[in-house]
Amino acid sequence: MDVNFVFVSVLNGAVYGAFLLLTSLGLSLVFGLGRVVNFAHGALYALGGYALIAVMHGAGAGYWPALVLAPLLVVPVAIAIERTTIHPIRHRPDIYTLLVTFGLSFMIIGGIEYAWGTGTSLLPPPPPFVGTVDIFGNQYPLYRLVAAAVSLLVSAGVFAVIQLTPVGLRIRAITDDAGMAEALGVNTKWLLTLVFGCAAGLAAFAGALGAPIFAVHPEMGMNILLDSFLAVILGGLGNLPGSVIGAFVVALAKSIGGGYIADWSIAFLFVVVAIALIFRPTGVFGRGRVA
Amino acid sequence: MLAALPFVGAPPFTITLLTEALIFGIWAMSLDLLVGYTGLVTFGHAAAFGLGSYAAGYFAREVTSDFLAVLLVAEFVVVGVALTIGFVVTRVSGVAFAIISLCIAQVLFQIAIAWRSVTEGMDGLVGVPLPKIAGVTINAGTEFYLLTVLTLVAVCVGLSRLVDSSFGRTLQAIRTNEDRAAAIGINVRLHKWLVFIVSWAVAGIGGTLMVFLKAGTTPMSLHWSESGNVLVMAIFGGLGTLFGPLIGALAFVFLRDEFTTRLEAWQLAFGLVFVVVVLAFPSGLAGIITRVWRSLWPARS
Amino acid sequence: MHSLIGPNGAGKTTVFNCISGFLRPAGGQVLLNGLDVTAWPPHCLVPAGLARTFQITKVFGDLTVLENVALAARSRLGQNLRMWRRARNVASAQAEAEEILEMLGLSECATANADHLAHGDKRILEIAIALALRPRLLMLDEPTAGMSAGETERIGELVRRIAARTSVLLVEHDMEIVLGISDQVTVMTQGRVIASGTPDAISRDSHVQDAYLGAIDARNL
Repeated sequence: MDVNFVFVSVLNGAVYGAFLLLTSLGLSLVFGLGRVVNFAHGALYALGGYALIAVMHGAGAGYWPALVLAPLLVVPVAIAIERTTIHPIRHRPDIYTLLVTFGLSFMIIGGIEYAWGTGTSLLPPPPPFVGTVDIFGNQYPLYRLVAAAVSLLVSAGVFAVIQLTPVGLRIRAITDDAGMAEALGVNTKWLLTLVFGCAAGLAAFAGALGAPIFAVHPEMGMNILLDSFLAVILGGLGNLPGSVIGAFVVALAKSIGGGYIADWSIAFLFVVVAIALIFRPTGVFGRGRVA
Repeated sequence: MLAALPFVGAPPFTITLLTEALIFGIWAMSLDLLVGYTGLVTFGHAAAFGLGSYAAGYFAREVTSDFLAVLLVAEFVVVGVALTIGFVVTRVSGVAFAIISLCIAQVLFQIAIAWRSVTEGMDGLVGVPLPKIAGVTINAGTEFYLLTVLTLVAVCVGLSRLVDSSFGRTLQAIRTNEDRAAAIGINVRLHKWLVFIVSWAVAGIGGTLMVFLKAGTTPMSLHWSESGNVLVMAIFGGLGTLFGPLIGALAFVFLRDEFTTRLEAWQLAFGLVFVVVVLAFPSGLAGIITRVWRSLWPARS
Repeated sequence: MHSLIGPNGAGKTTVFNCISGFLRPAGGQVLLNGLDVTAWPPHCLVPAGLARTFQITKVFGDLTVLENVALAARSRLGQNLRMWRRARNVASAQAEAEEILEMLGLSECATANADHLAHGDKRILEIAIALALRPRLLMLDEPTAGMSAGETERIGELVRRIAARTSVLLVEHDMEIVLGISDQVTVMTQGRVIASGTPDAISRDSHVQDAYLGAIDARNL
């Protein structure tokens, strides 16, 4: 067993986990608040990546300004989506929002393909984080570490907002008992929209941040969407700390397993999660809603 | 409930398209059993269809292309898998079920790509011969079309009896209020398992027909986008109506043909239509048709 | 006719759920006619002779009123897995359903969707469904919840008639009904039983009066 290989795999897993965390938090929040399973989350992630490219090539901006702008461009789109297509059907059974976001996913990816084609774009890591770093004798791309650190920071920020701010308090109240929160005067309607927009922003940010690492193509969001679902389910739907654990479990399993059983690692992961879900529908690592 | 026998006498391309649409109709109806009647939304129904295609295609190519034999073998495989997976999967409901179904389809998709010796990987299974019945070859075009129609009629009859039976009513009870159903003495878990198996079996029939129509199949038949397509067909046509999805499949195939040849951004337009239908017409085309029917013939109260 | 009463949060519905298989008790046993049915799933208890209604009305909203009851009847007859025969051809179930609806005064709404019924009628439908199961023990969870005085009387009368032929376990808030028709009353509060006996004895029990302090007065207003 090649120690170096395992070490790098673990590192890769950790990096991916940080990204997965961003998307998973968004998914979990949106579900915890309004019982909406946002199937379009992956498409929004992709949109973030493409928005980044658009800003960089279209407006000639550098990577870092584009990184900030990209999610800001996606958020209004997400809010518009929420207002027009999701909000009107909140009272209907859950599967309707599931189906609508599914259709939206098609639309967004179709729109991306139409506007930018179906090809893959590779982005070089942005200065000054080009090149590799030596870790225990392994050369590891510096940008990956930086990006992961940024992801973790942003995630920590999200947690801070949820736990420490008045807005976060309201969000937690709604997650706990929507009816009660409403009765107490919390403006659930707009809060739901706001959170949806923010979750989309997180996903878009992840897409943009990850562009130099994971390449940009129209379906880039689908794999991470699936992984996010798995992470959130493992951690318990609506359970934020659980999502943290779930995200890293999925990322590491994929990364380490991928090293040994390549194609089959994904299958293996799915099977594991499927089994986990079956025996613990509320989440393996946390107590969430029953899916 | 008529099973209108469509006429022959249209250009060959339309016949092929129609055949494809009818096969999808079978598939969409099988989905309706799960989603519309039992309330089990699945994102992985491509698994049942694709599995049927692969099993049928492989057997037809390697052993015999006798239609009934192939169908039997394909059904055996599909039902076998559905039995085992279904037992485990029906332990959950709702969102979890939807996602696990997707996982299963993804696993099969991966297997189809990786198990090159049997499935020939990404290139797909090709060279599936024409089906035979009692030694007589069924040619592509009109002959195969009639075979499809016959199969469709058989499926329709079977399914309409099923949904009207006690079993069918029980499924609807489960969809409407699971707790209540259990409190009446209904073994919910068992019913879910059984409908899962039946649904996959019917989808497998569709898959068998399709692999003959296309003389092969690829891993893409197991892709999640295919699962999405069949959902579109069923919802578009109208869930819980059994024949709605058939109409939905017809609409889907012909619309897609129109869109892909005319529009570059067909996926976008497609998603748009889907979203609009879910939002505005929850009972789908069947619902619209029923409403129009009733307004034209306001019959008995 | 055994009633289970107690202030809100006493745990009455929890007891119901434990008996009817919706919750697994942490300890103790449930015996039905001497048979240990602890932790049996709900659908197994029905053939054993148990039927229940729910505190929050659970009827099959999408289906017609007649179908709601016929479904239960067919389930009792063991017809649930029949895949070929048309449901409406199970004549005995249909007839039974019609009979029960007649008896409960719901015949007029037989073809309406259960969702469209008035609240009071829905509660009665719940009872109708339970009756179609021909239970030996009928468990009613607050059948008069949210009803007007007239409807409450109607239900009370109905329960009395049923109690003449079937064992009934009633969870109720309305003291009048409870004291009027019960043979035995058990009082719970905060998850424990504090008294059990005839209605007379209970109404004189000081513990019970304490537990209900204010509650009974509110009822009588």
